[in-house]
Amino acid sequence: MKHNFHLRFVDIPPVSWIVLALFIVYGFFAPGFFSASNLWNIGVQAAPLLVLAIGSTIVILTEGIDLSCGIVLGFAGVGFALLAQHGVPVWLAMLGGIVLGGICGLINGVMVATLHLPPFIATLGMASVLTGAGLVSTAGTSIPVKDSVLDFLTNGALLGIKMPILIALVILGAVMFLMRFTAFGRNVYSLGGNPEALRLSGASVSASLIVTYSVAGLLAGIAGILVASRTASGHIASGFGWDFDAIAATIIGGTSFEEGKGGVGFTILGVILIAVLRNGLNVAGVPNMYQFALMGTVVLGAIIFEIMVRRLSGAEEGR
Amino acid sequence: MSEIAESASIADKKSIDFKRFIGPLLRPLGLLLLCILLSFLSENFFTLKNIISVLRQSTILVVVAVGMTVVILTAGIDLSVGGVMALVGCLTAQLSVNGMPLVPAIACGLAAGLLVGLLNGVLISVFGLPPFVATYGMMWIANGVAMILMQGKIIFGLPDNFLWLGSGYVSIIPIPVIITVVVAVVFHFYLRKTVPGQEIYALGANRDAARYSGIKTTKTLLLVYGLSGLTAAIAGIMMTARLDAAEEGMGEPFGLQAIAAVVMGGSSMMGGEGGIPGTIIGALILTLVVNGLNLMGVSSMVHPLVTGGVILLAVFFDVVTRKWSD
Repeated sequence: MKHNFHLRFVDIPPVSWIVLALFIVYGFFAPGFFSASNLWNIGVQAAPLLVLAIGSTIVILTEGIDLSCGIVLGFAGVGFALLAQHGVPVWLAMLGGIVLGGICGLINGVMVATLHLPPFIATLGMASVLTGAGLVSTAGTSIPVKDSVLDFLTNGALLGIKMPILIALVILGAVMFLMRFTAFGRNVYSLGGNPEALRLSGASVSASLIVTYSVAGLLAGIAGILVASRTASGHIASGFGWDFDAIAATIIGGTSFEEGKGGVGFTILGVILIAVLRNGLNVAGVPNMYQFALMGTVVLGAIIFEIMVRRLSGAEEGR
Repeated sequence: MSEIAESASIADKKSIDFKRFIGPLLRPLGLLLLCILLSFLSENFFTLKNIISVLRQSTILVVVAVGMTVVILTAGIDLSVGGVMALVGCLTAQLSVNGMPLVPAIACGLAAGLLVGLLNGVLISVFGLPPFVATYGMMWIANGVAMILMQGKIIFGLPDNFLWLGSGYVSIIPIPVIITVVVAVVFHFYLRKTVPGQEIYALGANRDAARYSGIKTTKTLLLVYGLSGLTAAIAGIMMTARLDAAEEGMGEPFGLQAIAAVVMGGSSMMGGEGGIPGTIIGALILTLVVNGLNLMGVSSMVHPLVTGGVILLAVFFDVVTRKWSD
């Protein structure tokens, strides 16, 4: 009985305690942090990051990495905005942007699985190519989009939940379902843990990898549409730096680069941590230029904390 | 059984022959071909003045790429170099403008770069973070500190002796070229002729074997990332002196370009193979490609697209040739 409790206790990622502590600290030092409007605000800000981080998590589970997802986010937004500007109906343009993200992910997947490029080089190269393509196709400017649908996607609500949050949670649920109950999910875990077993089981390793990166691309596309809706525009740099946040959220949530450990479910904790940190800094009036260094430090610190705790508990279990 | 071994050894011989005789010539030949191509684009290309100008343009990239080579030899990666360049450039510029003499200002800059590099090394070798995660995080921190140093401004009007580092000459040879040659030669001999240099190769070729043979892997990794931070710092100072300006984010494109130069120069991403001479050729090729784009009047917005394409092709080529020769 005691043993059982112990195991469950270990299953909760240590980051939960940091999140809890953060809430308490901000509650004291940033008046207005706990207002309903601010909490909604955090949720709306965190929604695209959650979608992006889910993609990041499934890629990291395969022992890969996607350093292009932030730029893919911006690229999908640009694609959507350009389509809408040329008279394509908004819903169709959104679909176009998402598909564009999926294609980027597909190309990443082919580079990693078929051409055997190291994932971080393939995706970093991809990010560079997309940055160039995005700059050239927009002349570096922001492409405005106007439509009531965008407003609904940002401020609208269904069942009392704001749309971006609802969309992100539905996606989270869907991917959790995929990971737990389908062959796709099992394959993703085996890719990280034991690719040889996957091969012996008859599944195609490279096909599974390509699908994983494609899904991550689609999710980056969806995140891009959410961001474009909020800003009513498409800009190639709109996801600049988001890839770091997404990877950080994944690692903080307890997904490790080794042996396919972790999962999508706890990534939401990492996302909440990052969103709350950023929001708290804004509410407390910390200027934007201080936030990059601060966030980088905190995130690396959280990753180290996560690794150390896991190492210690691993050593305990090994005894 | 013996047939298999025999055919394997024949294949081995072939690949060794290829590597020994054609392999090393491939890259210089590519460089030459590119030069000939560019001379068609612009009749001024083969003038002494233009060649010196191209060399000077390549210096910053060569210096960053030299440090990157050392890291990649250990099968690692340093994504923080762009951030370190910005941090060091902004720091030295800020100190100089506020009246600190040249030598201490540069010493501070180099120390800052070394410190960031050592921090990378600690994160990777002591805490066991994957190199691209540790250095990617460090890039954001270094860029962020540069932002704080600049307070949203750009610094112009550096002291004359500082600017001399970027635009001075000794007879017809630009100072940055001299600095770069010194850095490259020192690193080349360090890697090839000293025990710690050989340990870096050994570590990259097979980490466990290196550890069992008594190489202190933690210490070597610390050193490697420290050196990369140091070269990035030198490059940041050179860039600030060249531009007569410092700005947050000024080092941004160099991280990817340096990796591209190293891989194009024949160092393997898997570690243990390659060296400085190849990297210099890789950096020159990359500089010439950008130079050619400028000669053709292509917008600078296309540069990331080309760099990205070049690095993907180079790494792809690296992976394929390695598979082929196995």
